[in-house]
Parts: sequence; C-alpha cells; structure tokens
Amino acid sequence: MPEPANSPNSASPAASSTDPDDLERIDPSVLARFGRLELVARLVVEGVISGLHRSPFKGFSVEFAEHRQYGPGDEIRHIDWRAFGKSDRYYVKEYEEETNLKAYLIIDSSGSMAYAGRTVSKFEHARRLAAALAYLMIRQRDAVGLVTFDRSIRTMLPPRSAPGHFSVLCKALEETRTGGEAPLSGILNTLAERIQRRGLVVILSDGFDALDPLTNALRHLRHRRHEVLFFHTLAPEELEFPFQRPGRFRNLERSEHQVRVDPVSLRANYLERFHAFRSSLKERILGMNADYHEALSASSVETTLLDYLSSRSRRGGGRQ
Amino acid sequence: MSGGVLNGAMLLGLLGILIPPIIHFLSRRREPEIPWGAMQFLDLAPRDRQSLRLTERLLMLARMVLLALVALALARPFWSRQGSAGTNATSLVSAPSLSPPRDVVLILDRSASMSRKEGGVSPHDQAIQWISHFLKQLRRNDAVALIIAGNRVESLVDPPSTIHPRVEEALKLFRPGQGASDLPAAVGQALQILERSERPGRDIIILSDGQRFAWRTEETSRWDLLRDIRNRLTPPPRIWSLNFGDGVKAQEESPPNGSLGSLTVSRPLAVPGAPIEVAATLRNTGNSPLTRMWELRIDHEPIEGSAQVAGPVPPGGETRLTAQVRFPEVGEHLLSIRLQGDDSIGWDNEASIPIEVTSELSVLLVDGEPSLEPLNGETDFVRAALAPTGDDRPLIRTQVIPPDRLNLDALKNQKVVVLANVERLNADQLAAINQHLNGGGGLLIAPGDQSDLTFFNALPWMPATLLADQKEKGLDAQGQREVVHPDPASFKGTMMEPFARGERPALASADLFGAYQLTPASNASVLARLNTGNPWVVERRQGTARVLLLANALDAEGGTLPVNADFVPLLHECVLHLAKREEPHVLQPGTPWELELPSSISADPDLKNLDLIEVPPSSGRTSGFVPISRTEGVARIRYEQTHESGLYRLRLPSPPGGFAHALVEMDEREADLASLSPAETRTLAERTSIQFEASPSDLPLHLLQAESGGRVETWRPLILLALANLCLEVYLTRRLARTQGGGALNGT
Repeated sequence: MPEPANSPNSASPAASSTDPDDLERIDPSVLARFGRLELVARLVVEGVISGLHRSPFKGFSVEFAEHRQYGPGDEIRHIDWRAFGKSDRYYVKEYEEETNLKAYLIIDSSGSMAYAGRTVSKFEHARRLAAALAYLMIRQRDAVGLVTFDRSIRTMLPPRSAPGHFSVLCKALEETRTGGEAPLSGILNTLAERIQRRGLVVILSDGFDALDPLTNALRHLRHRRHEVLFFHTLAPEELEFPFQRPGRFRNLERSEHQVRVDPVSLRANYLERFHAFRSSLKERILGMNADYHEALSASSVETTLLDYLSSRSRRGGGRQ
Repeated sequence: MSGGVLNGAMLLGLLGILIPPIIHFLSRRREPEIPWGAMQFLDLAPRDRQSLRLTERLLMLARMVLLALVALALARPFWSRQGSAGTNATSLVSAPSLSPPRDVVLILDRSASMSRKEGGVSPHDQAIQWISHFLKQLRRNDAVALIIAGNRVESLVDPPSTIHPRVEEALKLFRPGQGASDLPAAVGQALQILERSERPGRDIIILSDGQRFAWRTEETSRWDLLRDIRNRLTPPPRIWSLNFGDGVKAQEESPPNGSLGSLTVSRPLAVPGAPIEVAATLRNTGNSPLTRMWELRIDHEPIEGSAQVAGPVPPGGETRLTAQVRFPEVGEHLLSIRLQGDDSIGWDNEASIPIEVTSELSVLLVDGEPSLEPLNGETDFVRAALAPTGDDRPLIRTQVIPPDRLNLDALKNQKVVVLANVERLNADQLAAINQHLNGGGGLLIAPGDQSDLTFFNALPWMPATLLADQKEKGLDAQGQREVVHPDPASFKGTMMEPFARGERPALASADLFGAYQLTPASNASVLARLNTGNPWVVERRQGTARVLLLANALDAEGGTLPVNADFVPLLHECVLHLAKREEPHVLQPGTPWELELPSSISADPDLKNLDLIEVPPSSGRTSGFVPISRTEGVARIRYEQTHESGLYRLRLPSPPGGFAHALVEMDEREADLASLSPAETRTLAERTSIQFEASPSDLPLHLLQAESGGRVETWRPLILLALANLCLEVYLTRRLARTQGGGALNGT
C-alpha cells in the first residue's frame, strides 16, 4: 500500500508527483489480472485522493460557506482543497443545497474500442476509468448508473448511490464486450429521451463514429439539460500512426473491410485528418458547453482522473 | 522479311518477366494484418484509390517490360531485309547506307602465276586496281583486312581497319612472289580474323587468277574443315571468289611456256680465266613447241655473244642447255641463264647460281718420297699439272715440302693439301692437318708404297679404309702388278662427270698400277670407280672438311695417269673442288636451311649472329640476322623463312670468311597454269558456299546489294527503350508515394 495514505504529515509538495508514480509502478493492469475492476478502481481512487492532498492544486475556485474540519463520512467533494493545502488538514465546506447527482456511465463498445497496440485496449482503459469514476462518485454519495449496449441498449442500470451498487456496476462493466458497429449516437439519443431528470452523462468513446450524428446526439443531451462529460479514449498508435511497413489494416468493426496501406507514405495525410477530426470533435463538444477530456490509453487512469478533477475544480466545479 | 535472334539462350531471360509479379505476390503475403479502429482516416477517395491501383499496375507492368526488354536485347535479335529482286541501280544508292557496318577480308593470291602478263597487264595489277576501286565503294564504317596468300599466309592488315588508306599503303609494299599459293590456308586465316569480329556483316573476297593448283581441290578434308569453321560463326561470313587475268585458259589452250630448272655448274669455284661448265634444263610446259633464245648473264649482265637458240622443244618436253663460262674477275658472282623474250610466266625464265671466283689457290704438296731427279718425286707431275711453267698468271700456286717440314706454319693460308705417298704424320702434324680441315680446307690423299696403312685407316676423316694385303695381291700370277683403269661410266658428281663425256673419255685409257682396294666409309661418296668395280675416287665431307682419296699414287709408279690427256684438268678439278668451301644448299620452298658452321665459328662464343646479306627480292624482306645456336660445341644456324625461291646468302666471319648460300627452288607445281574447271568450281562452291563471281566488276554491286537486305541488329534501340522504361518506373514510384501520402481529404 502506498504509505502516503497513512502519513498525512508529510508535507513536501514536490513529492506529489511520486505518489501517482508509485501507483503506476504497481500497475493496475497487473493487478487487474488478479483483482477485479473494483479493486483496481478503489486503488486508483485512493491513490488519487491521497496524492491529491499532497499536491498544491492551486487555482481552485471552490466556493464554500465556511470551513469545518473533515471528518469521516463527510463527502469528499466538499473538502476545501485549498484550505487543506495550506494547513494540511481536511476541511469540509458546507453547502447549503442538497446535491443529488445522478450520473450515467456510457462506454462505447463498438469494435474500434477494442484496438490495443502497445497499451491495453481502449475499451479496457475506458472500463477502468469508468469504474474509477463510479467509485469516486459513489464514495461521495452520488448516484451512478450504467448503460451497456451493442446494437441497442442491453443493460441499463439506474443510478444508485448505495455502496453496494458499485460492485453491481463493476460486474456489469466486466461483462460488456466490444464488437460490431455499435451505434453510439443512436444510444445517446435514446438515452436523452429516457432519462427524466437532469443528470450527468459520462461518455467514454473514441468518437470514431460519424461526427455529425454523434455531436447531434450530444447536443440532444445538452438540450435536455443534461451535463455531458466526454472522455475521448484514444490509443497512442492512433495518435502517432507509427507504422513502418505496408500492411493490411482490417476494420475491427467490419472484419471484411480491410485496406492495404503503405503507412510511411500515408502518414502525413492520416495525421492531418486525424487531428483535424480530434480538434473538430473537441471544438464541437466544448462549443455545446459539454466537458471534453482526453483519456489516452497510454496515460494511466490516475493521470486522467487527476486531470479531470483539477480541471473541474478550476472551472468552478463542485456543482454539477 | 525474316528475323531471328543471335543468342537464343538469352531468351530464357524472358522468364524474368515473372519476377515482379512473384515478388509482389510474396511480399503481399508477408504483410502484417493490423486490426484497426480508425479506419475512416485510412480510406482514400475512390478516385484516389483507383488512381493508386492504376499506378501500382503500371509500375508492375513497367518493371516487367524493363526485364523483358533487357532479356530481349541480350538475345540480340535481328531482322534481315531481302534485297530487291531486280538489280536497280538507283535503289543501290540508298540501300548501302542502311546496312550495318561490315568487315571484309581480302585474300590476294601471290602465286607467281599472278604476275604473268597478258597483253601488258598481269592479274596482280588487275587485282590491285580492283581493290582500289572497291575501297572507294565501301562506307566509312566498313573495316577491311588484307591477307596475302603465298605458300605461307601473311596478314598485311589485321585486325580489320576502317582506315582504308592503310590497305592501299600495304599493297604498295607488296610484291608478287615466285612461289605457289595456298588458298585454303588463307581462307582459314580469314575465318579466324572474322571470328573475332562482332559485326553481322562479314565477307571474304578471294582475288586470284583461277589457277587450279592454288585451290588444292584434292584436299577435300581441308575444305570440309573450313566449311565447318565457317558455319560455326553466326551469321556465317560470305565467301566470294574473283578471277583476274582472263588469260587463264584451260590446259588445252595454254601457250608454250619455257620453264628453266635450276642451274648446275661443273665446279662452284672458279679461277679467273678458267672455264666452268654450266647447265640447266629447259622444260616446255605449254602446249605448242617452244623455240627460244637464251643467254648467259654474270651478275645480271648479259655476256656478249652468249645468246643461243634453244629448241624446238615439244610440248611437255625438255632440253638441256649447256655453256662454258669464264670469269674475268675475282669475287662472288651470280651466274644466270636467262630465256630471252617474254612468255606468259616470267619468273621461270631465269635460273641463277652463285660462283666464287678466287684469285689463286694455294696448294701445298707434301711429297712423301721426294727425289732430286726430275719427275721422280711423288708430286712432280702434280706440280707440273697444277702450275705449268710459262703461265704468267698462275691460277694455282703450289708449294712442295717434304713431310718433315709439315707443320702449322706450312699450312697457313693453304687451301688444299695434297699428301702424296706420305708415310704417316706425327701428332703435331696431325693436329695441324685437323685444324686445316676444320678451317674448311681440302685434303687430297694419294697413297703410294710408302703409306702406312694402319696409320691412315685410323684417321677419323678418311673417306675409305685401305686394304693392305690387296696391295700384295696386286701382283698377278706372273708377279706383275695388276693393271686397272678408271671406268668413266661410273663417274658421278659435278667434279667427275665432265670427264665421262664423249665417245672415248681419256681417263678410260689410263693404266693404274697397284691400286689399293678401298672400302668407303659410311658417309663417304664414291665419285669414280675402276673397271674392276672397286672405288677409285672417294670423297668424304665432314662438317666443312673435305677429303678426297685416290686409290693410287700420282706419280709414274702409280700408272700412266700423269701422262693422260685428262690428268691436268682432273687435278684442277680436284683441287678446285676441294678448295670450294661448300656448295650451296638447294632447298624446296619452306624447307628450313640448316647449316653446320665451321669450328672456327663454333669456337668463338661471342659470335651470336650471322649476317644474312641477301634474300630473294620477292620476299619483300631485306637483310637481317640469323642467330647461331650452339649445342655440344657445334655451331649451327637454322633459317626458316625460305618461302620465296631464289638465292639466300649468309656472310661468314673470317676465319674462315666467305659466304654460305642456299638456293630455294621454285615450286614447279606453280608452273601448271591449268585453271579450275567448271566442275571443280561447282564442287567447291557447293562444299564451302563460296560464290564464284563471273565478273569482278560486278562483285561490289552484289556484295552491297545482298547486304542491303542485311541484318539489322536491334539491341541498341531495345536498350534505349529499357532505359526509358526505367525512367518511367522511377516516375511511377514517386507518383505512387505521392498518391498515398497526398490523397485528397475525403470528407469524414
């Protein structure tokens, strides 16, 4: 177990970078072979949190009424990080209103998510990230639900905040398989209709769908007043296209479709188009006031989570 | 139009066309399969994809075509256009320029018959003229080689040269010879030259006079071999034959032609004023009776008043020409007999022989039994015979010494030594005699009653062994000595033969008393015999030593020989015969001239060469050096360049000085003017594909016309195409890269 979790007295902010590293050294993917998604998620989150209290996350604009010292049972999200950073104690913000966050996790299970180069597959990465998010939120007493689909919605777990629900979620996650040309935009549209109350829709996808239907579906969700959080899951090979020798690239979603390519001569073109797609997607998502984060499979889940949390705090998160 | 390939094996290279597709196929198999998600960024617009595929296919095609072109070029394809059927002068103007560069080998017959003049022009002249004309008609790129076909084949211009004046230059230096020619050998050498040629157009042109002998029609295996060699070349060279000198008639029509055989002389050494006899055989090789004037010449100058008429000689017959010649001056002279006037063959109208005329001969007479009484000594008659008193210009200078005064000093400068009834010689004297012999001196031995037979029989250079007891047996039953006579019928050799002429030769009546019985040595020659059949005069030549042995003494006790009418000439001939160092060798053309040199030359290790100061002018060479080879202490020369007939002369350093000669006879077969019969022509043409052109002036037309269909090799344009293809391949490769990398963005 990483020792910083038990020694709140260590005060060197500069050592913050070591904690996620320690966790990374005990590679969750290694643990995943032995443990379940649950365990991994817990480890990740605990590590993140304990790392968080080391790092000087400046620039939080969390608004709170007053401080009170943190005690067990308090929701973590109310911790005043800035105050903590100064005094090394947990302080909890008091909120007036009740928060009742309902989050829906949706992981793109189309075939393209199954791509695994030198890292774990995008899908696995997305799963771990989703599990970590679920754990984080349930720990904060937020409700988390899950939608799994292939050609259409297969399972829909309604959002619950009970701690036991986390295991259910993990189990459902583990049972999901990738394959086919799963229609993410269609599912999102359906979801937009079915979710009654406003919630947080977390989408983990590579976005390799047709751009317009996807963004339209996201807009649909936004139109229904849901918060949208899009984790763009990408493999390093998709970002860099490092292939040297000519090869046949077989479509993971449609196995009869393959293209013979000479990567060296194609690379420039590919990169141009890929990054254009990426920036276009990001622009559109940000443009509709949704949240866009990159969840690169080459980065660790912790890093992604940290990035998300820090940016959320910066944006004045805490509220949904 | 027909075509073909010169190097068919290379066509297998066309299988190389399969290489690019195979490589393509194999490399495709080895390509990795990558499961991929971001497919939409790999997709190219259909237009791009089509263009890509097209480029790929074009590229493979370009590579295949490249390999095919290279393989085809290596196979050296050609196509030949057939010439137009009719001879069309205008078409020839343009046609030659289209045919490929040619190699032509000219074979010029240099047999003696080529230089016979018919109406002022010889076939040789006509051939030279034709060659000049022909060279003008060739193009700049055509190469010409020139071969001279004599007894031996010589290349004047080899390898073929495109510098045509070079051929003309070589022809200027060339002179027709006096020998025969060997055309099959010349054709063989021409084929060898053409073997090294790369050009498809190759021709051999034989310029001859149609004389049958030159063609060696009976040597069929040689012609078969030539045919095989010719067929091995691809394409086979064409062989043409031209006849010049329309005077070559069939045998039935050949004019009378006088042909002189070689000269013989009674003795090759003369003294001024002393006559020698010269003889030659005149043959009529023509078909009508021959009557001709002939004359004597000394050193190519006619002797006045020596002209005589010879003949009439029937066709195929011969007659003997003889004359007596006196030489006025000392020195080396060339004696010739020449037929006056012109007949068709000029080179056999003269025959020559070198004669050495010496001022005086020193002869040493060793008197084994001197006597104060006149005419009682052994050598008195000899001396009187050789140097008669009252002669104010003695030709032979004699000196008489008793045996005890015989030593090296006495022998100095003596040309001939006569041992008359000498008992024996002591060791020093023997050594001196040996030295005399080794220096080329002559020795005459006349044994008498004093002679120690055991001593003489032991000498290594004795021409014969003397049998002692026969002397005693020379007594008949009455105790009288046996009397024998020389038998002129047995006289042999140039020395003795003149004494056998006439109805009653004088020597036949000479009485010889007590002649020894001689048993000739193995390499001795019996020049005369007695009426008993026993040898009388025996000669032995060993190296340069000459020894003559008589069977009897030369004094009055030996018989009546000293008073015989022919005694004086006989002794003269003996002495002159002995004094001449050597007779010229008579050789057939091409036979090497081998000569053993006198020991005085062998003894001088610094002498490496001998001067060759004269060679026949028709050989085209001037003087040179002949190297001396020494084995086992004997010096020899071997001269092999005796292809031309005529006189060859070497100078010998003194001692002993003088010259060595060789006379190379003319090849008599060359005098046969018979020409190739039509049947033989046909056989030759069939056997060897030689084209016999009726009219030499037509040949250039035929040559060039047949060539205007010539072969055109196409490998050059093929290679150019291949290079262009290579550029195309590079361009397509770049285009392929560009297409993949820079395809239009399709809307995703």
